[in-house]
Parts: sequence; C-alpha cells; structure tokens
Amino acid sequence: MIPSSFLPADYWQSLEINKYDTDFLLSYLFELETPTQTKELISALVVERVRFEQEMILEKRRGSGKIYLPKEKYKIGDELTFPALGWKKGKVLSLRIGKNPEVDEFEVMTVAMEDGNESLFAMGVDEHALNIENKVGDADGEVDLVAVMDSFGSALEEKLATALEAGDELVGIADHWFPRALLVDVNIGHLNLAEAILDMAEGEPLDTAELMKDIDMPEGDNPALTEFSLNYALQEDPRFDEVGSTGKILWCLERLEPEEVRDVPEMLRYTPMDLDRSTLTEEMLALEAKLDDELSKISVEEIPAKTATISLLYPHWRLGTFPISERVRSFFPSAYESPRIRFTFVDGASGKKMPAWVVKENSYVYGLKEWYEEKGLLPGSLIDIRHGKSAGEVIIQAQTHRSKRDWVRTVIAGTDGGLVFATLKHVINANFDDRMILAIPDPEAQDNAWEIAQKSEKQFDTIVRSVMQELTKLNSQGHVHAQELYSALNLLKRCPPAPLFSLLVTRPWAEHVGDLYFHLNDEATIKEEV
Amino acid sequence: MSTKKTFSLVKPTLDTPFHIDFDWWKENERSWRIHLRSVMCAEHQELYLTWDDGNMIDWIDPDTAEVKVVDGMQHTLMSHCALDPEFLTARTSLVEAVFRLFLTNGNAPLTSRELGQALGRPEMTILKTLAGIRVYRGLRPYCD
Repeated sequence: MIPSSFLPADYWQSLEINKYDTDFLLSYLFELETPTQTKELISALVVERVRFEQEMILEKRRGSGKIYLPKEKYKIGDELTFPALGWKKGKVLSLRIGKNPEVDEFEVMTVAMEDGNESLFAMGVDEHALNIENKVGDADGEVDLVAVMDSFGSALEEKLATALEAGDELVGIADHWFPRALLVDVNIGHLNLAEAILDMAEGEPLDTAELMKDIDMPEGDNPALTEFSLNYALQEDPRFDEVGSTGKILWCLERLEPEEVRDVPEMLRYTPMDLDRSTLTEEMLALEAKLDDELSKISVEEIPAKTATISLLYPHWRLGTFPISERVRSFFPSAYESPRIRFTFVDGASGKKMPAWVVKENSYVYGLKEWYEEKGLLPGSLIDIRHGKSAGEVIIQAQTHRSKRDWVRTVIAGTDGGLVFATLKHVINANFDDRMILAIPDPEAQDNAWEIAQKSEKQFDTIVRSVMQELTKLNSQGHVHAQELYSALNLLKRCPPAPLFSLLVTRPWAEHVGDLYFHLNDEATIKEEV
Repeated sequence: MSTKKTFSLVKPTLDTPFHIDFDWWKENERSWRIHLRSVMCAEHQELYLTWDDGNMIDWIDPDTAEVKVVDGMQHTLMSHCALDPEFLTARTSLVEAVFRLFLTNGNAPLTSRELGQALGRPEMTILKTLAGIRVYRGLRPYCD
C-alpha cells in the first residue's frame, strides 16, 4: 500500500514521463542488472512518483510552522500544524492539567483551529503513535498500487514505452528494457552464426536459447542479460525477424518467411474510399458486424465466445488466408512489437498441425491454402475456430460433411475479364452461407479477371453496377441481396461491406426493396448515362 | 394529573425497545457507579477504586492525540473490559447478560427480538423477564 490520496484526481491520467522519470529508471535498471518489463518499470515508477510527490508536500508543510507532536510541550500563543487532521493549523489558547488514571502526568491544551472550531489536544504524552515522525504522512490516506496499475497501467505503459523509445540510453525488445551501456557485446560473427543456424532450420522459427546453444556467446554472471543482448542484436539486424507471440521470443530469417507474409498480397489490398457511415441503416450495420471482414474497423462489445464461425470470402479462399475481424481477434496470438507472428493451426477434425502466420497490421492469417484445397472448400464455406489447448495454437475446423452435389451460384470468367453468374450443380463438401457461396470452376480464369479489373480504370460505382446486373439474372424478380453483392464484388475488387452498402443507399440506380434486397433501377441508370 | 411516564401502561411486545434507564438507578438510590465498577475487569476495578478526581476523564485519541472528555468508567468498560471474552458468556445470567450487552453497545435501545438474536437466548423469555412488574438493573422500555 502506498499513500497517494494527496495527489490530484487526474494525476495519473495527465502524467507526462520526464527526464527525472527516465533517469530514475536508468538507475533502477543499473542496480537491478536484469532486463525488465515495461509493466514492472511502471510499478517502480509509480512508487517513486508517490514518494517524490509526498516528499515535496511534506517539505512544503514542514516549512510552514511547528508540527504537533504529543510528546512536546507548547505555550499559549504557539502556532501548530496537525498532520493527523489533514494538516490543519491552530493556535494554543489555554492549558490545563490532564485527567486520566491510565496516563501519567500530561496536560491538555485548547487550540483555536483555522476552521473556527476549538479542539483539545494532549501534550507531554510520551507514548503516542504520532510521536514517531515518519507517521505524519499516513494521515494522507492510502491507495493500493494494484488499483493504480489496474486503472492507469496500460496508458502509463504506452507513455513510458514512447518516452523510452525516444531516448537512447535504454534499449527495448519484446517489452523488456535494459541500459545500452550494460549490454553484453554481440559481434557480427555471432550474428552470422545465428543466420546459419536459422538457415538450417529452413524457415522454422527458433527461440533464443536454441540459438545460444550453438553460438559461442561470452559467458556472464547473468544469463538473462546475455540472452537479452543477443535478442537486441538480432532485432537491430534486418536479416532477422522476431515472430513470437506475446511473452515468447522466436527468431526467423526474414528472407525465409512466406512472400504472402512479408508483403500483403495484391488481392487483400484495399484503398480506403470516402465513406459516410451515417448513410448506413441499422440493418446494414448489423450485417457488417456479422460478415467478419478484417477491413471493417468496428468495435465489438460482446464477450468473446468460445467458438466463432466465419464464411470464407473469395480473396481469402484463393490466397489461403483467414480474416482477423474484430470478433475473432481474441482467438489469435498477439505480440508487443512483432508485426508478424508465427503460430500453429490445429485441424479440429484430424489433429493435424499446420504452421501459420498472423500479419498483425493487416489483420489476416496466412497458411491455409493447402488445407482449403484438402477440405474441398469454396468461397462461402463455413469454418469454425476456437482456442487451442496450448498458447500459440488455434483450432480450425471446416463444417465438412459427406460430399454431395448441389445447385450453387457459379462464376464463369470470360477472357475479357467479364463475369457471368449461373446456378449450376457442384460437389459440395462443407456447409456454406447461401449468400456468400461462389463456385469457381476455373480459378486461373478468375485470376485473369481479377488482374484485368485491377488494370481497368472503371469507377467503383460502375464495377458494382455491372456485378449487380449479372447477379440479378439469377433471380426471377431481379433482386440482389447486399451480402450476395458483397461476396461477388470481392471477385474483382477487395472491398469491405460498408462502402458498398453506402453506395447502394445513395445511388438512384439501386432501389431498396426491403430486407437488404436491392433492385437495379434501369431507368435511373439510363438517365444517369444520358 | 399524574406526571408518570406512560410506558408502564403500554404492554411491551417483542418489538418494544429496552435500555438501561439511569433515572431508575437514581430513583432507587442504587449506586450506579459502584455497580458499574463491579463489572469492570480486575485491573480497572483497582485503578478506579483509588481514582478520586471526578467521573470525567480526558481520553486521548490514539490516532490524532485529540482529547475528549468522557465518563471514565463507562468508556473504559466499553473500550476495554467488555472486550474480554469472559465479560459476556453463555453462563452469564439472562438479566446480567442483557445489562452487559447495553453497557457494551453504549446503551443503544434494543428490542427483545434483537436481544435474543445477539445473546442467543429465547426472545419470549427476555420479553417476559423485562416486561414484568419488577425492574431488574434499571432495564426498562425505551421511550423517545
């Protein structure tokens, strides 16, 4: 417990990390001689800040008059400060002999307090807790360090990390910090050896302890420091990439990482469009939340479920990727700094383990191409994910069933890049979302259509209209559901639901006929073209 | 017209509050202080036996050293003697137990129901004892 109620209510929120703080932490780490987590540094800093602020206040208060101690004797007219009464001040008015059979001779003084009241105080009492001078601060109240950490810990960690990164005296890796001056020397020879070891692992990430086994590192008193120093040297060398999830450091050679992990595949790239979210209806917002598009930056308030089901979108199916939408984010490992995290998918049906990568910034997972093919999945197939039995594992399971032939929406891509939709019979191996399903008999032709669409200068509006026109042909009433259009549009252009939905409600050529079904209004189209 | 208190005309129930009526001690010429001292612990009985500087003492707050002028024996009884586990036990007689309970709670009024719960004794027995014609230890119904 530390006293802190004397601090302003917004003290921790408005705290700015200054040179005094970083100097204190530098000294703290010099003494500790162990790389330390940001959270632990914050704990030390909070205690130090409280001590410092308390010291300052006590200093100020001490300077303003005599501090009342029961053991002392005072005379009429003396001005006193009472620490146990919130540092109130008062003036001695009169004295008399004290009466108490349990206390040896003492006196009672009447004091005129600054608030206008008169109070009685004992004097000449040798045994009293207030006589111990360092007790004076206790009257300021107490607060739990854990409470400060719970309420402000994350914000303080962020501020501290920013401040420490801006300075050059401390070095940080995987949320641990240490003075640069105390690092163990790691030379280019050590790093070349590390590269050779990782080369031999053929892209399989290794932890630092494994690397250290084969690198002749200088032995020091503190193995944690040697490991930290090697980690830091590897981090500073562009050949190496730290790919471990939170709390775990794994190293991989950057050049051996899959291309789809190092660079975001073309098919997943999205250039944000102007979007007025106020145009979206309640129904549209609800559908957007259900579609699990990693590009939809929406907040999810519901408590994370144990299992989540997503329906595959064409670009993910084609690339073997998986979207990390806000709803499913908690299932996947995260990291303090690593932009790419290596983890393992476990097939929920067979138990087979598959290496996979989280690409944090772009919110997708790579590593499922073969698995999608093996399971015979299509865009629109339903896939369940749940937490793995150990950290760094995620269970994935397709909603597969015995193969059967079924009528489904089928995409036929022409050599000119044009798409035609037809309802044809296909072998279906897994449950699917009716509005998302798309059978693609010729993926290469579809790739060609995608490339042509990227090169084309057609406006978004025009692409949506042409896809909608083709889709309406499948429906006798000429209606298309917003979700069907979203699925089909992503055959040609990566686009999250919101810009598409907004377009549908703001263009005269799209007429809403209810329940998010839209009708292509030919008259409006012609008028617009004229 | 009689100036006597009307509570004697009201039949007490399980929800009628009782307390120690100090007037009863005066009316009956009983020495309240002698009785009070008799229920104190041995150490304080001796201390107050030789104390002749009035009833009121200067009590010193252990946290702030502020002085409050209080009834010395009553304060000592409540803050020290009554905390002894032997002060109030299952073997203490019913009337004495009720009396001591009021000493420890600062004579805050309690009903027979509440007394029964606090002492683990039958509430009806407490009511019958306290509501009878004879007044024990000044335990009488409380009137605002």
